[in-house]
Amino acid sequence: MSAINAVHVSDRDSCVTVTVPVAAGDTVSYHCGDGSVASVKAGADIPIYHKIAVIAIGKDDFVYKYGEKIGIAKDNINPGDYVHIHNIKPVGFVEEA
Amino acid sequence: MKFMGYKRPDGKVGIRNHVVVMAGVVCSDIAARRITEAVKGTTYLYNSYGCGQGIHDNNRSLKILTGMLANPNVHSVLIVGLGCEGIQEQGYLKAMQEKAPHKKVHYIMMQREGGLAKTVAKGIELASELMNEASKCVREECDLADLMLGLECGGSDPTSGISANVVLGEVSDRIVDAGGTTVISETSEAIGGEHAMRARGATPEIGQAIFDAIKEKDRYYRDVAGQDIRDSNPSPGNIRSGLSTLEEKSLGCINKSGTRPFTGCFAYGDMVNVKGPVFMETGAYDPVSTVAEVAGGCQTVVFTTGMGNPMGCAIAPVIKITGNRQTYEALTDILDFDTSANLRGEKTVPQVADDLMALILDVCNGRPTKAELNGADVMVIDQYFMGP
Repeated sequence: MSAINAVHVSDRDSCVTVTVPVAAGDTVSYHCGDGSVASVKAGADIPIYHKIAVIAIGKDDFVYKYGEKIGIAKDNINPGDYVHIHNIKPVGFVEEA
Repeated sequence: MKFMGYKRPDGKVGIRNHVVVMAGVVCSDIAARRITEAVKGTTYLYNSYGCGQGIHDNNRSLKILTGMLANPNVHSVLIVGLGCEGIQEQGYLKAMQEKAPHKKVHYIMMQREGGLAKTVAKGIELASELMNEASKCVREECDLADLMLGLECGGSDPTSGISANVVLGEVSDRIVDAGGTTVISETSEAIGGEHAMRARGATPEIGQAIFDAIKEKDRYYRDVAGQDIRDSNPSPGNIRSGLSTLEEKSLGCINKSGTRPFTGCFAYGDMVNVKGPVFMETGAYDPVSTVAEVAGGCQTVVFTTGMGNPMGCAIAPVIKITGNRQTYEALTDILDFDTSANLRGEKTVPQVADDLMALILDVCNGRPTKAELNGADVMVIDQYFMGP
């Protein structure tokens, strides 16, 4: 088992936060809600505390962290991709009561 | 858990014992400052307003300033006015009578005393008397139920939402369970988390009021300020550190209010008069929000930061905590506590919360925070140029 180097807050989340600097090709490992460990191979360099996708996210789909919507994908995002402002945008104002 | 505080005649508890000298308007600031410099141990409270404002902003200034002076950390007050300004002597004294009727408040006026030297001489005499009286106060054993803790964050980074705010949320739950109060504010930094906030209302009405306040702020930026707040928040520093959207920042931010049901939704600078975790509507600018929490009655504020922030408040200790070990090690002279052990798996969140609780109690007992040691004392009041 590789060392835990990322935080996965909710099993609904599509990305995790890395707790060390990650280089392309490194394995990113995190605890799931049931205590098991999952991993994804980094497709790019990820700065410390930035996000990496752990599942495929389609263009225009919501991106989840904290089990909630944190943004919308601007492009197709693959597992292992770096997730930041280059490929996600805010959810935006939603008028509702 | 107990701490040693100053029991005030109205039943509230202070953790500091400040004799405050404040200019009633910025014009008389020089007199207030000279008095503070002359009487060792007094606390200078800066006021950049007091005149020349519309009625709504004028009332907001009066509300925040008298909220600060009414805070139980303040033993007594000397206000130094000019004479012709918008907020008059009676305005201050009436508000203080309503908010803290037992507190001694002196008011002197430069245009009545006869210039600077005479005002300063009179002020020195009054402030010295207040210092003598304050020196007789002794700390007594108090309960956590007497504590009102402000929950603030600024210069957030991705560690805030997974370490510092999570630990502070655990602390908030413990204080609430002990009968105390916690106050979360910064309305726009709950945008994206309004559903979660609404779901935590102790009643449907409280939850809806919090939800509506957040939505209203979102609309205000779009319709009145003329921009989507998401264009300017997260800040450049937030983005460099790894936060991608306002929604991501907010969802991390609201973690610091813990999990207990919200028992109130208060307007900017309202005196908080319920127990439990409450929401206060404020601007997102950290000093504005921190000052509002103190004006609402918080004796201390825990301020979580990812990138670091030196700000403090003249009358209330601000405790700086971070979940970013690199930041903690680089900025030791402005930060009080490192929560990052949970990220390395060295400690659980409840274990880090134990350590933070111990620090908060030490600060309540008199241990100075870094911001206090540094003399950091920002004082900012939000101005809207429009109605409430």
